[in-house]
Amino acid sequence: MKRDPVYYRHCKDILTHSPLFAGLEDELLDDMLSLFRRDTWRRGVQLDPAIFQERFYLLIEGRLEVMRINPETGRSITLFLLGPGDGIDMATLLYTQPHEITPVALDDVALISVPIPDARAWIDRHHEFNRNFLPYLGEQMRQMEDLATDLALHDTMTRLARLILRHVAPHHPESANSRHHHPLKLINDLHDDALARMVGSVRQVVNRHLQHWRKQGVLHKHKFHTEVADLEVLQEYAGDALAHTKQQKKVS
Amino acid sequence: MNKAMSKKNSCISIYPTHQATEQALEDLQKAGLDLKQVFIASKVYRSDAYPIGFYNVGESRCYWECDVQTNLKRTANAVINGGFSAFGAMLYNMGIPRSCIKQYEQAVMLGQNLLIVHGDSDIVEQACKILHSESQQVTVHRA
Repeated sequence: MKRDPVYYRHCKDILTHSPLFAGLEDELLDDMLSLFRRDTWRRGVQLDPAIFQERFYLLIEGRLEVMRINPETGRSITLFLLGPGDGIDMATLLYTQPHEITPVALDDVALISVPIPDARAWIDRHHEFNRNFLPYLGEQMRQMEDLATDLALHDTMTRLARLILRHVAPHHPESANSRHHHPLKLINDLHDDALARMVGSVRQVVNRHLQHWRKQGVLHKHKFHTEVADLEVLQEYAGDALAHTKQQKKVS
Repeated sequence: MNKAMSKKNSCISIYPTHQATEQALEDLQKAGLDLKQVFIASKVYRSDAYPIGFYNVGESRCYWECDVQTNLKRTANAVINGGFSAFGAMLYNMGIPRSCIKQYEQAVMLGQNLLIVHGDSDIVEQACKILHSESQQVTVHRA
């Protein structure tokens, strides 16, 4: 990527704060960035999965939903909801076999991309990159584990509560408003049907639970943005398994 | 869910001079790319508030005005849907996101040329491979 003074700096800033590239030396990051090209995808567009066999894409702005769809029934499930700094279809860097995914842009999305062989070369050559890449991949595997467990073991209400809790933004005392609401990251303004795809349910059921929690004062919706008003009650709905998350948040 | 697979694919590169643009066109032609899918946008009316020069590149590698030019002349100074100029609206219809349109409009206003390849994903990717380098930024847009 050309060292355009504005966009280059913007991308570099996003990457230095992303889990994949944080902590890399400036020189190495510049070398990597020089290989990238700039891409944009408009909101609502569904991407051909074949392009992910050719290039490795990193999100700079906007959100992307990675789904699987049953073409016969039209039912779909969201595997990942990705935001700025996230890599798309990370498994392709390790395993070349084509697989079914349906990525859909939830916003106008800005990305940078690099040919897959170049990205694979980073794994071979740069241990610094691997120190970020492997835990990042581990986290994605853990997310899949959580999704599978939730779908098999819990009812929709519990799944929804757990989904919301996973997206509570890290607590910053300065940013907390006077009512002590907890803002959500990535899912704060999603429609009910998008949330339903994330918990393997349907819009009507998710809408019923959300309304119930709003009436109870657990959730608060303002200008299409949802926040958690009562974290402890939501944690009770999510069950004991997330108690450790609560503890971790208190510690941090 | 009613989502459409990306149908509008474009790649855009910005060149500071006509010579550089000519060179890029030559590179595309040498690689056998159909130049009917290549467009050049440049400022042709210096007195206008909005850049409206828009040319299609044909097989003979001569520039000529495409039909849309006539319409653009009429609406050159008009701001139409979504706050775009006519030129911006054309870019939007090609699948360029709002955030990039202003940048492209500014580039043309400053006398730079936009080279646009618009077509199937394969053609756009092929053009991008030819044109993109560390010193020449090419952006791929899908909509």
